Amino acid sequence: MKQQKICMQGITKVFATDEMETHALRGIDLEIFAGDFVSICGPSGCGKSTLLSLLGLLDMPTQGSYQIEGQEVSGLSLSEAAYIRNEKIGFIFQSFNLIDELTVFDNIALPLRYRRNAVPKAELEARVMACLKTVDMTHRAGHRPNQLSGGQQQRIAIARALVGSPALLLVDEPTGNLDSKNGDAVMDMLSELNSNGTTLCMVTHDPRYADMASRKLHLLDGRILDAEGTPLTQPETLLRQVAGQ
Amino acid sequence: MLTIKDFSTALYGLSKAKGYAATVIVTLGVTLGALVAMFNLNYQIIAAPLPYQEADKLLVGSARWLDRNGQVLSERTLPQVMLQMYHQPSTSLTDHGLFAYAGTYTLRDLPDAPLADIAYTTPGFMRMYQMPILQGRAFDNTEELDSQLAVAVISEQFWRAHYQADPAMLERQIIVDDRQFRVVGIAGAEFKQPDFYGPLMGAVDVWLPLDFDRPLHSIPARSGSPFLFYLAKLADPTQRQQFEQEMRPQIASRWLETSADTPSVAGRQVIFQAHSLRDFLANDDTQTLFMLAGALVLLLIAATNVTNLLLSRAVKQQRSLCIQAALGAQHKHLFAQVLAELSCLMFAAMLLALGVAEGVSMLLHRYSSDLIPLYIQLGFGWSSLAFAIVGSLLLTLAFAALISRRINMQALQQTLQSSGKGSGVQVSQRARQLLIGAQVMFAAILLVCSAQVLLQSISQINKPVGFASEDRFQVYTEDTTPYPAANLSAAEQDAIHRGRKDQMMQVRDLLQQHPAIAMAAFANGAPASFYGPSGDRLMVLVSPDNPNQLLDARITHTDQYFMALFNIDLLAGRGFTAQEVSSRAPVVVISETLARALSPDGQVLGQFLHSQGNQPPAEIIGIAADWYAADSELAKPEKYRVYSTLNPVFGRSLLLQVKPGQQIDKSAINAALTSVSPNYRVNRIVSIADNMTRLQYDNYLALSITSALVLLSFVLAAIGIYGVLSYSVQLRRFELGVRMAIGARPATILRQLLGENLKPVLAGLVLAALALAALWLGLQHTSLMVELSAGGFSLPLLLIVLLTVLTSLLSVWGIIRKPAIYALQGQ
Repeated sequence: MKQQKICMQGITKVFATDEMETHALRGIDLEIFAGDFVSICGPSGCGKSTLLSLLGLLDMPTQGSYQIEGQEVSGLSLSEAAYIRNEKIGFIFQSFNLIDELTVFDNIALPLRYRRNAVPKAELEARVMACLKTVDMTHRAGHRPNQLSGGQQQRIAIARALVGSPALLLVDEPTGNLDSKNGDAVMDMLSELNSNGTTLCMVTHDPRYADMASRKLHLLDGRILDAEGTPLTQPETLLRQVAGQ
Repeated sequence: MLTIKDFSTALYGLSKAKGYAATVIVTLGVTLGALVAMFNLNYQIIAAPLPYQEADKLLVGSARWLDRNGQVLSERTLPQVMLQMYHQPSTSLTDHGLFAYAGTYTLRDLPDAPLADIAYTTPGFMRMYQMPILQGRAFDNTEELDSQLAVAVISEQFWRAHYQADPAMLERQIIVDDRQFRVVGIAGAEFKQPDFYGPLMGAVDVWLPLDFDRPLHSIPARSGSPFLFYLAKLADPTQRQQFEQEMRPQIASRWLETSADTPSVAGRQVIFQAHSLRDFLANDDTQTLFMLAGALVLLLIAATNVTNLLLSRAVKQQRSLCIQAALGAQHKHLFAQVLAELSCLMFAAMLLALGVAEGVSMLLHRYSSDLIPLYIQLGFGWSSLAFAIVGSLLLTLAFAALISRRINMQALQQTLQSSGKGSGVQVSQRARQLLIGAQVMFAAILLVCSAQVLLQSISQINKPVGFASEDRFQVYTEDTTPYPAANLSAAEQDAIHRGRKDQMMQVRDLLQQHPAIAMAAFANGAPASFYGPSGDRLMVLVSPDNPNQLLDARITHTDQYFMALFNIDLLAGRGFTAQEVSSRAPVVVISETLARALSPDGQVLGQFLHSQGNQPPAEIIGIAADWYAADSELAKPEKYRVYSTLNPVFGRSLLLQVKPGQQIDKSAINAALTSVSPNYRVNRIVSIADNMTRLQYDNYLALSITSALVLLSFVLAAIGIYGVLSYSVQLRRFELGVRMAIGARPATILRQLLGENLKPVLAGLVLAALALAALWLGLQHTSLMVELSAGGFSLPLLLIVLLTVLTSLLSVWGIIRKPAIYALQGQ
């Protein structure tokens, strides 16, 4: 039986301003298992990015339970969330989000430098170089991000996401800023990572790339739809929503 | 072109950023206000039209006196011989006159005997300065010098306050000193008396003819008076130097004639000086110019801080700018938006500045009246308004130009192309560190300089003066005994002075019996005198064989109680006995420093003190501790002091120590005085402690100004450093979000920022230390006295480090206290 990596139950997210409340997610139930490649699709504003933010602990749910590898993480402090993020989650962003002032090597090493327990220098170098080798960018270790092409930057971003050996790789529109050739290359790389056991959760607009996932989730108005387009909601979630009202 | 829509949009935007708007308005309003006030002060002193017609033709004559070695004995002291030359004016003049301050006298014609500030003058003064007359007339030519007509002009304020605006005031007799004067005119309240002696002796209540200034006429012709001024009006304003050159040899030779029979003044020079009225009244405007420069620097620092805040806001507005750029806004449209917002801010800052300027002017008027010439009007004026408007406009345009240069259209486009998720406009780390370093350097320099002056002022104020002043009072007495005839011999005159001294000693003994009085003494002055050095000048010969080696000392003619009353320690020898005081024995007590100047080991007891002039040598019987009063006049001869038993001629005062908790009773003193002589009465009673406070005025002023400056510079530094750091953090918001996304904890982010920020801060502090060292070395070549204090140096630097830590935390707090997604989304 596959190990459960992620378990979300009844997750809601409400953005409140002075004038109105926006329900970005309405009772999401989601499980992701080790080795899964999940893609999340849906129209703009359906809550894809919000769900990804919650999965990555970049934000906290308004309501609901969220476990990573069996550990409840929905009520963590910012500092505790940072530790979990650092050790168990890897991010790949649409716009790469490399730090311009750091070299490629230092960008990749950054998650290890944020570790609760300092990673020895030799181990850090070995892991960074291994990741660079994985993405075939060893020769660019001393360069700055602005000296690389978009495709190369995204490969570095993938290497940075992998360096901490995360339980889950969260990928946000990885090909959005790339041409089709580079986009395909990146997707091939992600597929290969998945086939080697890396758990992936990807947000994408592109149906071609969404089809490469082992599971496809469709989001609409903050809810996950089933194959017929009906919102999937667990009975206990419904009960909680009623009680919440 | 800006439209109403631009302004309403700008106002709405500012209403959503109240903290930012308030910070900019207060920072610029306060500092611009201080600058406007200082500008107004300097403008009034240096450039504003004087309130007299043809003021450019008016000049004031005085003289500089040099001793035989060329050292300046006194400045602005008109020689008495000017009275002799008065009736032969230069042909280059169209009018002339004399003016002398006489001090405060009691008006004896009124039952409440009020005090009045008296000036003696000639008709020319009233003509040249266009004295407005409410009733009657000004002095006319029949009342010129030597006419001996006892007439008076009184001020409208005095007439209303003490004569209840008596409609029959003209021809009424007033009694000043022991003389009656017939009032011929009432001067209008709008008359602005030029304060020739400075603001200390500015206001005049009664003007009398110069013939009746008896103290002035009683001093020898070879002397001079700092209270006497020769006033003249040139036919041609360009002829001032020519007139000076014409008068200088005449006065010098006339003075030489009158002093030829006085060996003690041989070798002195009297150099006549004809000052333009403005130069004379403004006197030394260095202090006010320094204040202007200080205010300007403060504004520049504030402007730097505000620039950082504006840049920070521009970064925050990036999203809005991106959208407008996407909709086709060009650079000029965005510039107009920035300009509209800045105009709103600067308008509010200008209004605040005018209020602050008015407040500063009121404070200056109230607390710095001894600094500012009386004739000028501080406060709101068209010049201030124009200056504030021009200053605000220039700042607005400068800020707008600076911000608009930061609007990089290409970068905005790139930001848009990356769906607003890109890194946007970045400023290099080097540029950010340069900004922080520069800010810290300026703040550190300002803080350290202010702190040094502040500590120096506190040190001066707390410095022991060497004598007691609490519960001590100086009673100025008035003597209406008719003046002795001018043709009396020296011995006869001396006998009169001795008789007066005996009478005053009787009064002193009577007052000793008063239950409220702990001790009484009699002298020609007190240790702290506000109107100049205490005591008469005495030129002490270091050696009787060498008349050229002189020490400029002050002599106090007093009795056996003086030193005990003021707790002045006697270090060696003894004080006077009652017998010595009574018999005017030729004995003296001298100060410690004078003793060492006379003999390096200070062992001078039993030796004789020789002085220039006709004074006989006197035996030194005691050595007293030094004391000083912290006024500039006393600075030079501060510790060469001599106490003698001789008869005082001028400045006879009773000195009283009142028992703690007791009040001094003027009527009791008057009773004691009149019981000895009906001609004596109290003129005024002055608290020595109050005098000390007034003497410390410069230090208190420096303390107040530097305290305000320290506070203001610290606040500005805080705003400035926060502004730079906040700007820096705004630029890095996304980057910090990325770091947080990959696992950086809030504490990690804070530690990283602190580490990064402290580097340029320390570099700025090092640069500030170097600049301060250079400044200190530069000041060694000037006359400015600078005492360095380690605390005044290190404390501000430590404060800046602490400030950096706090502002680092504050600037990043908004990011690290929220989930990482907010930073990634630029919220």
